[in-house]
Amino acid sequence: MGTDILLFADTIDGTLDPLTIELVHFARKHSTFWPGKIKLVIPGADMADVIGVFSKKCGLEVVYLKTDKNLHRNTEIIGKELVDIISEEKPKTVCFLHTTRGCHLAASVAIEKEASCITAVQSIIRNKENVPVYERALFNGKLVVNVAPVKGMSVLTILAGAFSSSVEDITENDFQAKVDIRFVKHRMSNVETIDIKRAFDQEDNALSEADVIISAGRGIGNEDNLELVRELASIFPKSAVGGSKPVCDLKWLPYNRQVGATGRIVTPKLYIACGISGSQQHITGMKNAQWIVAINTDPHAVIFSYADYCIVEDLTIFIPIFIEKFRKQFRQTESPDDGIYI
Amino acid sequence: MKILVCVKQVPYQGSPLEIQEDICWIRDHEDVAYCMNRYDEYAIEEALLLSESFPDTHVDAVSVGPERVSKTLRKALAFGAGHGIHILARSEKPLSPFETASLIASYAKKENYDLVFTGVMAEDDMQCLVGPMLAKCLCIPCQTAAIKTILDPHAKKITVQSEVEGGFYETSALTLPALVTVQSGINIPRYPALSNVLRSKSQKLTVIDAESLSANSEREVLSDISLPEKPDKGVILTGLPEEKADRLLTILHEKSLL
Repeated sequence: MGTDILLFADTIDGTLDPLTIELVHFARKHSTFWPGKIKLVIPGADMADVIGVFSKKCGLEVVYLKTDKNLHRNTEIIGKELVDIISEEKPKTVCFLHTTRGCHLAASVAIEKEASCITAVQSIIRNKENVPVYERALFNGKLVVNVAPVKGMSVLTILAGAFSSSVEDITENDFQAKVDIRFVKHRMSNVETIDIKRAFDQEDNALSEADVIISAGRGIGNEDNLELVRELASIFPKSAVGGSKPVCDLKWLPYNRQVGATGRIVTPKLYIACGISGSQQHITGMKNAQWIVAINTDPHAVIFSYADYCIVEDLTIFIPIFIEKFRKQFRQTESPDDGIYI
Repeated sequence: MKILVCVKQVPYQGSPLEIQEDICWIRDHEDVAYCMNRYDEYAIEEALLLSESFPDTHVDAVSVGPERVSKTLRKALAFGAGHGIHILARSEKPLSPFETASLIASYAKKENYDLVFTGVMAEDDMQCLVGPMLAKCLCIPCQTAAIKTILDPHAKKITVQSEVEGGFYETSALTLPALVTVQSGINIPRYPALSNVLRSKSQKLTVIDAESLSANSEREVLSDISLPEKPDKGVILTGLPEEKADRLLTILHEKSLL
């Protein structure tokens, strides 16, 4: 029996992409409109246990694409294997997570199978003709557009955070848990994966341990203004300074302080975004903070859509006023000396 | 060595965006300023750095789009690219990544480039697809989101360190010809040298009519462009900066965050 929706999730360093659960939720939602069989493909080396647990948790049939060490990261080979699986299963829809690798595989598969390709899907819509239309953002979330596949197979990438990540309601009544092991057949490649390593020092846990994170974006203007951000952080106990990717690219902060999909995913009690416009990849990293305050001069900045408290001000004016008022009101002249990670 | 850099002209981030419903895109009017996609500037810089390390390396820049795109190609020349190729596509509708990749591929196929660079994504449609689609059309290996490259022209290999979501760096070696998509942080784009700026103004671009290249029908249809529904969960603090500061202090204090 063929498959209607084929999902693909990655493994890296012995772990399954934590966003895989969102991919499964997307497929479940899709199949409430267009019922069909869902199958998940996961490549990896020595991943049998993890995959077994995930398959049971979701009640989902999984193809474990077993490779030698590091070969599962070879996008060329995994792409060829996927094309084989697609030719056998003939799915109507193939879904990846919206990561750079997910997009790479989606592009390869779409060209090979002459399919429609829609990335960063954030919502599914059933149109008048009862066919799926997918919503995606343009211009960093300033506009949204609906995209309809023309015909044949659709290849999608699913935006992080757009669908549920709850593990509670993921199991289906119709219990399909099963793992098929499939060994990689393709060997020839013009790409050789040499190594995979952690991008930054795991010792610096400031961002994961802090209760309060004050983050700087490119909108702080210049490196000297980081001092303002640090000073603001210093009035909160258990606080740390983070930053957006552009700030780390400029070397104003080290990469281990980068908040976002390619940096750290953080969940502090309070997140204060200073001069951050709110790129998709940054939002992914901080939107689950308990309280979010955003300070930005641009009232249309995307970050304000995610903030609980929005302050449209120049941070070089606002932060000094805020700190001064705090010191007056709380008679504090010194920084709290317990547990600061600045 | 021949290097091709694909550059895209995108609306400047601060430009006012006005919806044009019939094409599901933004209206192309005089208030919209256009510039080179930021990630493509890193791609150009990476190509130029390689060309400076290895003599006899030529860097070409290619772009697909209407007349105004020539300005972005001239910017590529000003940075230091040797030659600009304009695939002139007159359509008002934005081209899909698939259409763009197939147009560039049908030009690049004949040119035997050793290396192709693109930005990791475009700032306007945010697709991350043209690079890997182009690689597939050209049947060459591809690595995405490069933050470091080391070229070995004798071994005909490029070693690429890529940024992977979740906080990993992955290193791969690709046999040339190859395509690499470039992530921010890889380099700091230079300021154009005066001599190149002057050259860029007068140098001829190669213009190829998109209709003369093998065309592919579209595979996706855009419909219903709109402003996003705001979650509106946020409270906008109003008043003078001092009043906003007082209000925020009270809020944070009440929530025991201060």
